[in-house]
Amino acid sequence: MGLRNFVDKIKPTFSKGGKLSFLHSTFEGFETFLFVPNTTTKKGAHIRDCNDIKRVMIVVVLALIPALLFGMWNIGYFAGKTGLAAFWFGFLEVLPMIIVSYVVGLSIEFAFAQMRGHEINEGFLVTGLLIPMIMPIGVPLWIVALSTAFAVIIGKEVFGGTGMNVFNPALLARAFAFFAYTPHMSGEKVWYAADSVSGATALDILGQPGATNLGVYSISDAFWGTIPGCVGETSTFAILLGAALLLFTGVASWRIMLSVFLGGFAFAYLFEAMGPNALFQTDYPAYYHLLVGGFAFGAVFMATDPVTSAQTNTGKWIYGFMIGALAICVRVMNPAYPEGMMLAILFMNALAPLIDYFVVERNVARRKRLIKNVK
Amino acid sequence: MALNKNSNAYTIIYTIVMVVIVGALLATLATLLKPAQEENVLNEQKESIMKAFGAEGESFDKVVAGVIKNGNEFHEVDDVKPLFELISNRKALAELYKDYAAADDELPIFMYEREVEEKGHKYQETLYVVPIVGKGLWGDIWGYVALKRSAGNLEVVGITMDHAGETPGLGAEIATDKVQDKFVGKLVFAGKLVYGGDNKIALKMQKGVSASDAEKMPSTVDAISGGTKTCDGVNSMIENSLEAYVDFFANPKFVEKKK
Amino acid sequence: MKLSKNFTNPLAANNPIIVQILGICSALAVTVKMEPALVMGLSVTFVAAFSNLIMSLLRNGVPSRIRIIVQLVVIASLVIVVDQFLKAYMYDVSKQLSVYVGLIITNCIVMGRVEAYALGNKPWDSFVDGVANGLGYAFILVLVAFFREFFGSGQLFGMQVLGDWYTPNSLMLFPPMALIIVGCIIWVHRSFNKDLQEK
Repeated sequence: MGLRNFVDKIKPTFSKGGKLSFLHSTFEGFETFLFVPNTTTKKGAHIRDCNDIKRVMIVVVLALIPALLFGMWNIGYFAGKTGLAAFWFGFLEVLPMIIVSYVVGLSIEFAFAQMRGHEINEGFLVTGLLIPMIMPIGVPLWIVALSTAFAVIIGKEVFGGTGMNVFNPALLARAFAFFAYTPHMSGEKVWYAADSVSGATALDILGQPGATNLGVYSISDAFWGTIPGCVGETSTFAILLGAALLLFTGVASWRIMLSVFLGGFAFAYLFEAMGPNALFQTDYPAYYHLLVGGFAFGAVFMATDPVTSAQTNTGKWIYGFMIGALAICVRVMNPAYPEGMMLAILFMNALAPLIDYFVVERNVARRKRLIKNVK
Repeated sequence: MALNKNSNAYTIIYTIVMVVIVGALLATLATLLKPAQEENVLNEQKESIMKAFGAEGESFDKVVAGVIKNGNEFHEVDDVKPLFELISNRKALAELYKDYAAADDELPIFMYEREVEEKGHKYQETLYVVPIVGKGLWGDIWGYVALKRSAGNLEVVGITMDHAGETPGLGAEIATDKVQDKFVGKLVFAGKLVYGGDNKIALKMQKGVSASDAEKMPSTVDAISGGTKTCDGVNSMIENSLEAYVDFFANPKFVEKKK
Repeated sequence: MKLSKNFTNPLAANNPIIVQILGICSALAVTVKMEPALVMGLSVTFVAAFSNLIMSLLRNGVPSRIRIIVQLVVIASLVIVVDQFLKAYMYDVSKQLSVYVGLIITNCIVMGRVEAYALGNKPWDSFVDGVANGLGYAFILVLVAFFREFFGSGQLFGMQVLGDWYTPNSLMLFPPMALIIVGCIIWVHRSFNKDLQEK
């Protein structure tokens, strides 16, 4: 109990009237990190649960670990190393990106919390890990920093902080980097850590006109993850492990995950059935789409973000389905954007409140009709 | 007598007077300014051509403008305006290139002579500028390519390109000196021009080639990373536009009708 | 003195773009570089000032039924005058502004001030109001263009300011960034002018 006593002893200095009371937010952030807050609710009926935002975030971080670890090994693998050496190489390459993302993001969050007199929210815990995982390994660190800053300031703080944002902040960071510094985010060289290696990702190969397979990569490569891509997105298997954890703990919505895959597969199948034509060439089986690029990663970790997704159950089905469908549409029909997942999710983020609104309105109307019939 | 401002008569008269005055004013202004405006458009075209020749800032008067008739006859024209009008009408120009028939159509071309010194010798070199037009990723792309004869082949002296809406930082880079300079010195055809022969146009932007490798290849320019589709458009533009002129350049019997 | 307040208000406290939130559309399109932004701003000032002046002079004689049409004719004529002059004497800028010069007719600021102010006030006051609103608009336009040109291409007024070490931020060249920048300007402005903050 030594730590608790220590914290209690220094608490008055940081509370109102104490000498360091202006640093109250920062102190509070550290205190609640160490201990569950003992604030009690004053009104209404509430459920007491040990699961608060902090704990939910930690579960998500744990779910991301398999994909992250595999991604690190994968980077080393494509740099020509094997086994533990590959993992260590990748680890050293990815670590700076993670550090930059957290340092920049958390400093900005701290600064805003200080300015506004709020407590710090742990919302950035997950975002900070997501951002490096959806960037290619070859992206310069200053771009990671700028993108994180943009995402936190324009994506979160402007709207009111954690829980108030309309758009998924990690995807905003990626979108910023993609549109602002496109040559550094696409092409042939950014997917590899070693300068001497370059080549297209499986997604690029699939996007070429007349593609019938993944070129030098096999389907099992795509599933297990030994393909080039962004740091965390390549291994469908590792992502599914994370999905299992999220579903088991009830942190993520199975409705969203399932509907994203359904929507994506439905449209991919539609395009496959239409066959190659003048507008787009799709000569490969539909399920390829689910395995390459950021589709699986987006479906499990991005679309399911509770703040930015639809809230109603029916809404979640519609929201997820449209994400999957839109992502495939952008991939297949637009030659300028090989990856459609990021854009699809951001777009549906904007539409999610509208979907919820209509679901609720329809529900209200239906109940009104029921009441009329009863009378 | 007080005017009833809201009466029909007043309203109608007011409208007529207003329209007449405004119409007259604007028509006068437009007529007065028209020559200056047309000259601006013309100047822009001329500057673009001079830039392709590598003679930026020099007077366009030294350029001989004309058309190619019957496949190998060069006829100088008096008035460049119709020529530039055709070139500005990108759709018409593209169709001309697509459906070109030597017997019926005329192709626009510009010639420029400059003095070169090589190994102590001074001689006159003839440069040609051909207007090129095509489609990029998001819209039209167009420009001028300046060529000179070199060892039986055609060498690029310069190229100017412009676009309607390509991606900034990527496809839009085709309008920059950085990309345009890469074309200088490249050869258009795979081998020597043979009259009546195959004469494939080999000049293209290629991806997957490093800048240093591309420098060693005679007809290859390294493509813009991330701007593949625009570069594909550039390749099509060059091929489709120059194809009509191949017979002219390949023909050893070159007829020049200068004024 | 009424005159100076008339002039200074639209520059800051009642700025058409950041307070009245008018004229945003052209703010997105022409602010990629500073030169077209400046020319656009001055063009709008010219059109706003003189359409205010002319409408104020005409205000007692215009039949009320065709009031809006007359305003439109006056504004449109002035815009055509500006457009023709640019095409003749400032061709490069005119190409960059392209259709947006014509769109000055639809710029809410011009029509808004004519309707709200010129029809009910004396010619000189109306003229000043037009000038002030135009300048307030021009100021914001140039400010946004400053950020977009500086960070988007490392240039100011076409002159390279940042060296080769700078990787241009292409997002700055896209219209959405202009909206975000305007938003940030509004953010800063309202932090200093607490009375403008909505409760």
